[in-house]
Amino acid sequence: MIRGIWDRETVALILVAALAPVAVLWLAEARGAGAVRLVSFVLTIGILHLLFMLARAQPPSAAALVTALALAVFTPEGLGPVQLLLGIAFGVVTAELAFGGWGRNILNPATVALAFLGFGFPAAPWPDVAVQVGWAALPALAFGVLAGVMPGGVVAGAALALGAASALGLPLGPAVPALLAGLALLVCDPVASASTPLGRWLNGALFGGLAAAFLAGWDGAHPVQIVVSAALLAALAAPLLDEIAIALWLYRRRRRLG
Amino acid sequence: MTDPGAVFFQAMLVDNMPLTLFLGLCTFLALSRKPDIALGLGLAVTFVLGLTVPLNQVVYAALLAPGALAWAGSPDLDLSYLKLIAFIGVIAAVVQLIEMLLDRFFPAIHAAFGVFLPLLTVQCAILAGSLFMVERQMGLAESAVYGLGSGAGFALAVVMLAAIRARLAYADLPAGLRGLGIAFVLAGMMSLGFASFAQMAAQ
Repeated sequence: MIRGIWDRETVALILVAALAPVAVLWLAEARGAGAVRLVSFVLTIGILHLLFMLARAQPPSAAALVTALALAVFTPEGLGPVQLLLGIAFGVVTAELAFGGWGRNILNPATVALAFLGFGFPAAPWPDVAVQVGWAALPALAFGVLAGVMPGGVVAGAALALGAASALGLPLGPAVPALLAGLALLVCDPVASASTPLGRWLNGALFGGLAAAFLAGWDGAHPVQIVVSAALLAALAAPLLDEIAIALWLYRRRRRLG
Repeated sequence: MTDPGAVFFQAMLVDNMPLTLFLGLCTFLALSRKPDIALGLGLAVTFVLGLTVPLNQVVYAALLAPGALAWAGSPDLDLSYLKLIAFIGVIAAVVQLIEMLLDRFFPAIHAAFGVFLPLLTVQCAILAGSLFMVERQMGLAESAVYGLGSGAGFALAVVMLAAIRARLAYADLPAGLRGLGIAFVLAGMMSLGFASFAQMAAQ
């Protein structure tokens, strides 16, 4: 759907611009190896987009850059090229391209690819997210929300749930960079998150609540593993949260208008 | 009895019938096209599992378990090999009885359950609930919590899948993936998500 300049690619490009601070600080920390990783992921996803463009006339999207960045930041370390290709192809094809491309998908392709890699290759260690990358997610989220391409309700709901967990005595400290980066790169996907105002708050609160529950009860889990698991479950529940929000709205409307 | 909250959580999320144990997939996939229909199915499964698992626990503990008939003067009798047929009989009888009672006294609820109640007589997840109860040597209270938790887990999964499938109206799927094809893909992704709970419980 096109509304003024707001077509799919405008949103994708603003998302890329919003996430630029995360990319810059992550590249500054990961240096050459990180750049090679990011470029190879962009090329892999680009080839998959190209194949679907040739096979199904689906236009490629700049959102592939966001997927590549999320995968580069969070992918488990020590995986070989075949394993990475398998995981990326699984996520990008089954969670995005098979649905008709970015904008028509239900789940974030990077989240699905990361969950697949984490579940399929449990021996591969999850990467540590540097503190500066986590803090860079804050301006990214602020710009994304102000520009209208990231759901503010999701950020607020997650902040509320994680704030409540912290107030109850759950030590979030070591997981904060991964939580912030995960919120910006995986959860605040304008396509995969809830689309009603109440649904967005619930979606964010569910992500924050699940992350807090996993941090409290999942012994030995890496913060990135917790963020990916919570992000996948929150995205799977997003359509149901929208249905609940719509049902509540209809109920209130029926009560008011008879 | 183990902590009821832990039993409920384990049954609902960790041992989720369709997503972790892959039981009851026929109704899970076939009746998850619309959220309201899925909710009716989920409620019916919760209702039937919540009733039949504790009822079958009573039948097993009082009649079928080794030594259960000591009160009748047969302490060495072991009728546990009859549990499969006995559980199916109890499930069929309970479902029929519930349907007749609802039809007579609560027609609105009967209409809401629709065809789902009689369908559940032959659903594998319902029978599996009772068989797991025997395997895990649960008491009456624990089996009631387990039955309700398993039913709630099934209801959650089927309503989640239905809500996701309702969103597929915006998707442009290849012809071969439409219908059950994409439902299988989505169920696989949901299973991947619910695997987190199993991993957490395994630590």
